[in-house]
Amino acid sequence: MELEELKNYLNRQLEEQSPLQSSEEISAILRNKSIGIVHRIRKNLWIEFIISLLAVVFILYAKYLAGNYVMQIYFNIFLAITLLFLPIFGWLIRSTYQLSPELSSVKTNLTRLHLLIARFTRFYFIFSMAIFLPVVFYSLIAAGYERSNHSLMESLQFYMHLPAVPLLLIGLYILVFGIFLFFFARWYIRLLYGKYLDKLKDLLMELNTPE
Amino acid sequence: MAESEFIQLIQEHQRIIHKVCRMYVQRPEDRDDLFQEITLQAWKSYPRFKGNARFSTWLYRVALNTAITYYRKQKRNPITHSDISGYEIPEAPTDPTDAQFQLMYKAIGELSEVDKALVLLYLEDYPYDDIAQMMGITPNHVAVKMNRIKSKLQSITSQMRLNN
Repeated sequence: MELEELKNYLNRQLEEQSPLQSSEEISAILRNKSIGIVHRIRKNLWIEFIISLLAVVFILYAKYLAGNYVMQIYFNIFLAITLLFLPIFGWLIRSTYQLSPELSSVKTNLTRLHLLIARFTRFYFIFSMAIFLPVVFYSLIAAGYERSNHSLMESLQFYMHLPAVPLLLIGLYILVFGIFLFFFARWYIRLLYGKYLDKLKDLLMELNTPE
Repeated sequence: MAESEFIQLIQEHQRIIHKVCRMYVQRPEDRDDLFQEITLQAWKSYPRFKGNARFSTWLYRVALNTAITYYRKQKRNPITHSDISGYEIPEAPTDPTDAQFQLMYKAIGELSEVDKALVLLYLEDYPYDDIAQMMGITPNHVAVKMNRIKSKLQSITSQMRLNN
């Protein structure tokens, strides 16, 4: 039997096999929170946004308390990174509110959602990697600063005059740590959103397949 | 006022949401989650419902967009065969039309999310122009896809009959 012949029966069966909800049950549903992916991403972004705002306050306070010059630079770098990312968080939050399932077609909705998640994951990757370099670089400078009688120039010279083996070990540590962070960030983001992004991509490809 | 009006509209049209849930989700507990999500999305979008389209068409659009992009976390318990064929009824159907329905329903379960949406709208007797508008493709593309879906369903049901 074909779909055409079963049409009415199928329609009726699909409608009738679920228990109907009372107005009280529907009213209770309206008090619940969404479990959709857009809601999840929006929630994560708001958390990151608030944490970043708190971080700005904390960094300013720590900068005020930090006595030495190197630590001041260290906190300034973090402040700059956090301030740079704040408007990006805001922009991403705004785009989550622009997704409206009632206005757009399935294809447009899928395209927008795919774009949003792709941007969100790319941004997280860049954010993770952007923090890595100043952390490593300034950790080394700060260590040298402590050993070289609190002078920035002497701190740099401390590393220039280090024997080859410790220098090589430091270089190797930075390289291994950087590579690890790169792959870990990629793996973690993929674990969270990879399969879902692939699914959206496949659905879009299906809708874009030529007639 | 708006809330009671919305609740009444949902009550009148909830069969649409149930139908979409049954089409997209197999486990009954997941169906409840999807029902909730669609109702919530519709409630959030309701202030923008201008009444230009029929409420049922508007609700279909919200329901399909929500169901297709619905994100399910991986369950700890692996999906068993009985979960996948949650479309089945426990006892063998005695009515031959019911048996056909079960078979067709299982076959629809094998389709992609996009194809399921097309089947749902086709079952509702929407013209291809309206389906095209809802899906964001051309009416010609809808026609081509519907022909492919019908052949695919026929081939899946034949295969299932052979396997039984």
